[in-house]
Amino acid sequence: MAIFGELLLYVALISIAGTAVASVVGAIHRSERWVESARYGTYAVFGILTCASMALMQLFVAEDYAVKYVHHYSDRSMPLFYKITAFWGGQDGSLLFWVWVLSSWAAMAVHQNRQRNRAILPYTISALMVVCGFFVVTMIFAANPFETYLGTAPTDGRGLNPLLQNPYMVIHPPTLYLGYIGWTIPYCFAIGALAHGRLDYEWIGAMRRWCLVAWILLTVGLILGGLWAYEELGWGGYWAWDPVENAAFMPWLTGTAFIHSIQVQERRQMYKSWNLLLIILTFLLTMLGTMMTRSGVVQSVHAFAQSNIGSWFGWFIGGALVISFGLLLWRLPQLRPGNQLESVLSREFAFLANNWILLAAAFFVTFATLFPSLFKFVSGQTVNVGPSFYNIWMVPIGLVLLFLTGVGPLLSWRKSTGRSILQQFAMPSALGLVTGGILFALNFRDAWALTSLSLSAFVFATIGQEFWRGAQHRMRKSEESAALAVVTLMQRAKRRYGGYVVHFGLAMMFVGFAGNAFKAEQDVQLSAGETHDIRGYTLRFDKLRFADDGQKNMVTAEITVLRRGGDDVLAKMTPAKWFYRKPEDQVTTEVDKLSSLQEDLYLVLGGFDGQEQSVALQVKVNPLVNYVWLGTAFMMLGFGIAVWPDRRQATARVSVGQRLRPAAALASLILGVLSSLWAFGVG
Amino acid sequence: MVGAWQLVLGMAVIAAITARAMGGPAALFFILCGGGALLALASLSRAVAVLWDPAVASARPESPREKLEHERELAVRGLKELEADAAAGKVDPKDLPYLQRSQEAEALDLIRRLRHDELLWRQHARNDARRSLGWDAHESVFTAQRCDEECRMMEGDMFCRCCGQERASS
Repeated sequence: MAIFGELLLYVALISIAGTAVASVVGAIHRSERWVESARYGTYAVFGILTCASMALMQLFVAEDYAVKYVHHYSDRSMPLFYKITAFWGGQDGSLLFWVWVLSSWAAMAVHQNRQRNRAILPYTISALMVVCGFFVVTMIFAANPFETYLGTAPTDGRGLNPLLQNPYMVIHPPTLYLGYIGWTIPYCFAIGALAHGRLDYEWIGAMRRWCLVAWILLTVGLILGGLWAYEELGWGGYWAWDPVENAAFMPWLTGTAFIHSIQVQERRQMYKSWNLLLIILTFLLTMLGTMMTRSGVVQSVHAFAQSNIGSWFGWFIGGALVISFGLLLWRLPQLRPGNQLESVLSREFAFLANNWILLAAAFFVTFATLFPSLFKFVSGQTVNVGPSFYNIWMVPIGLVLLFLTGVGPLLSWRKSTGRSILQQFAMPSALGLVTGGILFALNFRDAWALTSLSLSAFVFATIGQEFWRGAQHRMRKSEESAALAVVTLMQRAKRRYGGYVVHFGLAMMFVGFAGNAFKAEQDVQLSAGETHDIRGYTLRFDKLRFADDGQKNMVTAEITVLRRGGDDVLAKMTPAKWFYRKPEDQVTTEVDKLSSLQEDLYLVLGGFDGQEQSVALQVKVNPLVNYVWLGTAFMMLGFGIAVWPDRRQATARVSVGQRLRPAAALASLILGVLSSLWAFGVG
Repeated sequence: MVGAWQLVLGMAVIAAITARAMGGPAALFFILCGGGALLALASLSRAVAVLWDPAVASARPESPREKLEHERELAVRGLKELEADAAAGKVDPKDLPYLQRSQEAEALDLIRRLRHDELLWRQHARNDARRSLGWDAHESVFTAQRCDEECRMMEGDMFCRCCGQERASS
């Protein structure tokens, strides 16, 4: 199976090269036949890489430890679920996963555009194949997941890092990868547009949804990473400006700027070169982030081991940088704006300001992340850039962005007058100021937290006002009820109102960030029966429990949580420590928390004495933390509204029969397999 | 479709045998691997065959229609947004007529250009049909741009149903 997998990598490389050649010939000779050939070639590449990926998963399930990658990242005691997900748990497999997903997205994007954007399609396919080709070449020559041991094969594997054996860690990396990879599609369309010279809005129309999908996946991936850190690492926080976190955050910042900025190009034919610059930067930052986590350039708790693929990425990024900016400079004379900025009091300018700040933030994070490595390279000395340094700059930047989130929707396109601004800003500003005043009166004294909560109130008010005014207009015009008017509004202008829901989610996340200023943290030693008070809770340590599930030893502290000053039992909590057999001496901290919208009671078992029946606990109360996760849910909802297809368009594009055909094929496949399995008595 | 059914059935049988021999997950991977292999083989054979396929035009015709349709969609959306902004009090009532007029003019121009493109396409199709039937294709592409007599308009029509000219100009 390993030989089969390796062979497939070579076959994929040949197919990629063939597809790239066909698309280039099609582009040069404007030949429909060669472009069609390249289109089918893209599907073939996806098919071949699907076979290779399935082969690697089968190697994990079959426990073939002759394969180095399988040996390094799994062992016999691991549950099947984690064996399958170990596919992307290490470097070599994650590269295969990456190129497999990229090929699937490339096939989907090409299929989607088979009748449209025919002029730029061959150039886009060429760019996609170059990226796919880079990953396959890297795997074949530097990080082959199918490489086998020359001598006797080991009988068991080393096992996956226990920190990664967590449900969040199963979803987090692929979601993040999907977000990273997603930006490749719009980048390749941009390269296609630059190469062909059709630079209006065709390429933006072709990849607008892909951008939104990439953006939401990257957002969810980042938040899932935060959730994993919060629940698994046991330090009570979710964001520590770790280089690997930053690696994913950098393209998120430029990507966010891009999805705002393309609206101005669509609406006002402005910022054409700026948009191209942003998408090029976003793609390059995804590649830089990938390089940073894989090359050993930066030190992080969850970077992959140091390897030689950093130089491969370095060359690729350098090449992509030269070609992309070369094309951009070549086409610069054709990228003149269709309109001029008429006023600074306009939505166009608000978007531009938002772009500048996001770009400045991206440069700051990139520089600060790379600074220790650059400093060590230059001076040979080690220097650390800690969270406090990032927070000095990023907290005010974040708050300015939050402010602009509220301001943007209140301004109109082209220009707003003083009167309309006064009318639009009066209520939200008043609500923001009143919120700040009330919190100050309630003795909230942290300036950043106070500003964050006031600005969040301002944003909530702007969004509420937008919905209310829109609904009022519909109620007057169509005599609809308020609820129906809101629903109709969202149906008629999905992008606008979906965007507002995303902004609502973002403001909610800032409420959660503000909670950091009010957290309580204590280290306590408790013997059996002893109690400890913190905020509104009384903790009583009952006993220690020891267990073994074959894979690990588990030590669990049983804690009863009571309401302070009363006998009401709120919960039984069980923070634990797990001692894994493989890899040897690996210990994980299993946090337990009592969650409510108001706060989390967060318990970490720091140490224990089995004979004395005593424990050392880290007790934390994290106010408002759940608003961060809730805000993400609203962002996902808003994204869903924004990309939901228009009913008329969907009906026009495909008939009911056509729409049902893939579902019928899938259903028949599942039915066929299940019935056969049943017939053969396999279950 | 019959081929697809046979394929599904065949794969299911082989998957069941694999599942019996190697377990359920192996069967699942086999199915997905088989699906990938079939897709790859079918796509590769089509990628080669299409180079000699006479049904696929060797040269790519350029059409401005797609671009015009996209621009029209944006212009109409712009009008709707302007209306929503005006209703929310974001646009100065003094500026509104000017903004509305320029936006409407842009949308109308695009509709007119689209209509013209469609007429040209129809005329080409008619000429092709005449030519293939052996009739005289003496009618020029551009002769049908205006009605010889009065345009055929119905109530509510903005454009002539025959030649596509705007009501006011015909």
